[in-house]
Amino acid sequence: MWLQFFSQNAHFGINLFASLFCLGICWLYFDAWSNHHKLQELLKWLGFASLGLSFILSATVIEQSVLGKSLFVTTTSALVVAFRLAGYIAIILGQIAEPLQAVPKNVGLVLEEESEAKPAKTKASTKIKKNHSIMAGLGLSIKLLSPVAGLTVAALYWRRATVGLERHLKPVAYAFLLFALADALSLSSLLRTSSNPMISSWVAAFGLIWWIGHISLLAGVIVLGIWTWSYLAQRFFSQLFMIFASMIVVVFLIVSVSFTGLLLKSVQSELLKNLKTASSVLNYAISSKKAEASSSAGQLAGNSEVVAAINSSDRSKLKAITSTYLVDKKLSDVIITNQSGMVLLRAKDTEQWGDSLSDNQLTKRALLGLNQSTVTIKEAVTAPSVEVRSAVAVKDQAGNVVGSITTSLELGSAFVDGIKQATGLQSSIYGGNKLSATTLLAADGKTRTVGSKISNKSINKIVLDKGDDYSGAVELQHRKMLVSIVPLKDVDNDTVGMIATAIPESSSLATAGHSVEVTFIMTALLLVASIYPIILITRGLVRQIN
Amino acid sequence: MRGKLINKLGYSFMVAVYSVGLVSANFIGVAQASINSCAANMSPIAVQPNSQTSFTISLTNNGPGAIEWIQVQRPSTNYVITNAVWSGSSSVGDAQATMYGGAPIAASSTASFGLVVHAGEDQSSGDSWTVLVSDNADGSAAISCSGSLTSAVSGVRIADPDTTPPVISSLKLSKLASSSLTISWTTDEPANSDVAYGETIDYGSNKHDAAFVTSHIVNLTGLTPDTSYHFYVTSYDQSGNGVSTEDNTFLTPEASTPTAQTPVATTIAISKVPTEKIPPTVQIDANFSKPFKTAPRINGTAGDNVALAVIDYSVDEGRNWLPVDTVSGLGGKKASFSFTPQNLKDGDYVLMVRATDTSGNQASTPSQTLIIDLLPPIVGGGVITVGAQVVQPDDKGVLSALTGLEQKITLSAVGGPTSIVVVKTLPGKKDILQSFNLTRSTENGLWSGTVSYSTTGLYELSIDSVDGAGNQTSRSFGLVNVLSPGKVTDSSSKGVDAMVTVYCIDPDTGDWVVWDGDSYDQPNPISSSAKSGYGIYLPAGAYYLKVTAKGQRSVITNSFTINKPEIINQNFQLSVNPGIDAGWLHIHLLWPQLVASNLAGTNPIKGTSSQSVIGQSLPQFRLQQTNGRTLATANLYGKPTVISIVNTWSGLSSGQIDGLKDLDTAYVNVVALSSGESLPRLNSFVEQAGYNLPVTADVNNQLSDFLKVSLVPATYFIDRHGVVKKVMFGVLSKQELISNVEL
Repeated sequence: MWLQFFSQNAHFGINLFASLFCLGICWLYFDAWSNHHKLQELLKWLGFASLGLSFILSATVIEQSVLGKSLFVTTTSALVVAFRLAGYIAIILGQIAEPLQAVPKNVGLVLEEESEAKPAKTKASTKIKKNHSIMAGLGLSIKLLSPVAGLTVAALYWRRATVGLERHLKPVAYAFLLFALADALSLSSLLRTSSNPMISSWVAAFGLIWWIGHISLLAGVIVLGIWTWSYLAQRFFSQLFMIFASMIVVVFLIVSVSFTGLLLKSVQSELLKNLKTASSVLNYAISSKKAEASSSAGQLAGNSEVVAAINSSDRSKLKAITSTYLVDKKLSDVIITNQSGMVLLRAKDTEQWGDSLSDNQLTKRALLGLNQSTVTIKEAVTAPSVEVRSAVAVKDQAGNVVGSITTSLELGSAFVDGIKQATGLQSSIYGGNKLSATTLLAADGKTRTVGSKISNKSINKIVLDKGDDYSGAVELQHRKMLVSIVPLKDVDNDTVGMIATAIPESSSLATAGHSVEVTFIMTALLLVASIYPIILITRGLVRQIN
Repeated sequence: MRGKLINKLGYSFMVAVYSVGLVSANFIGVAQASINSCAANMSPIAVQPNSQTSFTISLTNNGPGAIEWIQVQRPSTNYVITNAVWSGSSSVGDAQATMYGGAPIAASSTASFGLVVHAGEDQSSGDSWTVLVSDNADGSAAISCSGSLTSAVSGVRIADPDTTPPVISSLKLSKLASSSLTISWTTDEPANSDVAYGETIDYGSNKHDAAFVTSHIVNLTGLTPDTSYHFYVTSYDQSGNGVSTEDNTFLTPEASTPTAQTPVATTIAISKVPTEKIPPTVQIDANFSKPFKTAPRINGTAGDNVALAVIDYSVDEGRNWLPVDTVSGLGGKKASFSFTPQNLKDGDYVLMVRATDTSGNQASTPSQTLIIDLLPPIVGGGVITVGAQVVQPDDKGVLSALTGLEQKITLSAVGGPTSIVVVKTLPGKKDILQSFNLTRSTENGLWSGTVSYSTTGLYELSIDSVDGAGNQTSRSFGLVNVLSPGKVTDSSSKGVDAMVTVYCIDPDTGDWVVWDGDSYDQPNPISSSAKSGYGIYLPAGAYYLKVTAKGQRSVITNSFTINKPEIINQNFQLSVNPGIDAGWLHIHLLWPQLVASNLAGTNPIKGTSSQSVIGQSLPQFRLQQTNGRTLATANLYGKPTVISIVNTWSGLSSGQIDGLKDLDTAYVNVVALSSGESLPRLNSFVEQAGYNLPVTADVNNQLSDFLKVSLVPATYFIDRHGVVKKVMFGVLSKQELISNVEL
């Protein structure tokens, strides 16, 4: 989880710096344009401004497959692509409009190192050839256009640096080449549904390809940053501005990463607390079911007609009285015995009577006048069934015990679904270590994994053997989960099963995802908003120094 | 003490033992001269009615021979001689005591001996005793002694000794708090109170009240909150007869709980320390050699040396007991009883009758099997599972299995079978290749057992069942296609040891993770040996496999999705992993080879059951439905019919009913048929689930037997003339049902 978190923050930081340096170059071109008002300069600074905006928007995009649904990700992603493409196209057009600086005729002379040449804004009139690479990308989808456009920009700068005289533009070509590579690698997300598990693993969010793409972007940012700095540092004003801006970006970055990190930690501990609370809620819900079952039994036991019917062994009467009781009270069974423990009625199967329950502990105790409830485990075909049972004594007017009534209430899917609805957490009930009812779905996303076992030995030891609570991060059914598990005990305090509430560990990141995204957006907005004050402060300082 | 009848002989005991007066010093040895006179005196001369007395008889030999044999005879039946105290041997009966083999009483000598006698209730003034002596050891030529040999029975009757323990009843727990509890009980006579308690069965703590009362209240304090305690109570009466309850338990609430309203736990009090240990006797007069249609009336008698307290019976081999219907003589030594076990269904019942005496001693009759036979055994629908997964057949009803992989078969049956065996044969053949015994669960009445296969091939499973009356039935349970395990081989097709790992998608992150096989009782990774191969049974989901073997290039499959549990036994052929091996350096290609996935279930062997019902017309039947109506064969003519076999105990049935309930009954008859389950049970099933669709109760498997129902759910498609056209297995959706109905 923390790897995903830092990956997301790395994405944020790299894109912020990419934005910063693109805006730096934008400033350079803007400066040139403000002096000459040439179209090509206008296109260039507009292009880099668009790229800067694209990167700053890209910084706020979160990985939805991990951090959960985004607020604006669809819109933002579309804007990222649009601004990116617009930026590339503007730069391409600017490059096309800008004639190449012709290499001087130098027969018999040895040129000085071209790298030492100062950047010069010449008005060379050499016409460039038509750029076929742009045309080649037109047939591709909008997604594919971005890396193609980036590659075109890189090619144009490379041509200007190699065919033309502007050798100093080589780093820019490298940077755009790396940007284009990063853009191309980002398209790998289209392969996430590949049936080749290796490919789908590599292209997964924060997977191998994702990291290569971001490293490529980072490398491009560094190259562009160094190049930009070398020019901005030529003027005191721009130098001061970039220092301020860089520092503010760094400060914002540290603050936002720290804040989101603490937020995530807080979310995680809060989730664990909630899980424990939810387990208690689940326990209370079971207690309330016991009370419900006991109340239903008590209600019947207090019915004088039931007492009379038991005394006279009138099964028809008992059947009539309890005919709608199962449905009305949502019980799974009602068993009525006489004083000897002989079954007079099983509401679930009224033909099954006459047998004895003298060996049944609950019935036995009820016939001693003790009303009590417990949790019992019944084996079924694939999974155990966990039931709450309550037995009460039926007494005549003189207070003599004349029989017993046992009510049963199944803790099945409906019960755990209700808990999930109330708490939003995955809930499970185990008979022993075998899953009896759960809200967790199997790998097919449809069926419930009832009947499966908890294979984690420490949970079995702590909860089932020792009867203690357990909470923490574990792997359940090949899913990393945060869980809180409490023992399920019967009337004699023996552990007969477990109650678990769980939430995927990654969901803590998803829970924090919304806040992380808002933090990123606010940081980006504040950064943009801080540019004008920085300009004002820088200008003031420069004026005072001058 | 009320109503205590004591056996005069059984409870007597010696108060004092008198020493025998020894013969005089002038012992002569063996004398042959005959005795002509003797004198005897007896003391005391009067005893109380119903008392035990030790008489001393002084005997004088007036010569000439030595007395070698003595006999004392009682004056009347009001006296019972219980013991003789003499230096030699003695033979004691109620009426007389004979003494011999001791030191002879020489002529002119006097000797004494003791006689313990129980005097009866009758008062008398002078009862004459008889003393005979002889100088012969065999008592021949005995003469009667003269002297004072009368005794009287007079005075106040001595009460019977109290040997009956008190009876504990109304054991109650109350005022249960986190650290205290009140235990109360009553006894039928004044007795003291004692509670032993502790956190284990060893107890360790004790609370005692010496007061002799009938209502006992003992407060336990200083208990630990939220702790389970064991306890038992004991009461001793003033005569020292004691009784204890069995071990009981209670649970103290947590400390935060102010006062628990309902105390928990205890078990029925039964005497734990009987003061007399002679068990009663009990026998029944019944012949269970033949089966019955209904439970017979059973008569019997019981007896005890003191008194009988309870007579009850069990039809489940002594697990649960019920009192007999009528009994006379309880509280006395002999009782007769009779009872009729209630509402016994078709089946075998292990019957026992138990008698308990007032001291808690118990005796039971030997277990006898009572057979109720109404129907021959008929097996209903079943389910086959591997761990928590239900094995579903293909559309032909053919099951898949893997050699060595155990499957559990669970099925219902009516007609009270005592034995159900799953038999494996070749399809349509009779020769039994393998058989598996099923056992019946006492909890849910279902039969289950494990089946496994050692060889591959197509087999037919049949279910052979026998009931207690010897009725036998057999029918097909369907075909099973036993697959061989998957093999991992090298490039020369030679088997290699390998590890096969199953990966699945983590639904939360979308990442591929190792499938948790332990949860399904299966290993993962799976070790695939060169000889036996590997196999695994996967639940529905998306997976891929990775195969690794030493020196071989790893292989992974494409990801694949299965919609129902499937056997995975794909064969893999590995190739040598290219690379460099130079001493410690091993550089090999890490990139695994990708191969296509190939599921076993996609290509099963096809076959048909030897007992197919396709093409047969429905028989005439009338069955009750949960909506109160009756379904008869005639109701199904004129429209196509869909009959789905469902039951209340298999989770899959609910899914099938969901599919059925949406079918339009204007065009098709829709029948949800339950095999072997009672109508009341189905009524509550339908009501609890809230189904609008009625379920038809085939209680005796009348229709299910014709349909050869094996696995559930199964659906039968029947045309408008009542002829079975198609059978499909598993849960079918509404669309699948509609598409198979021949309108």
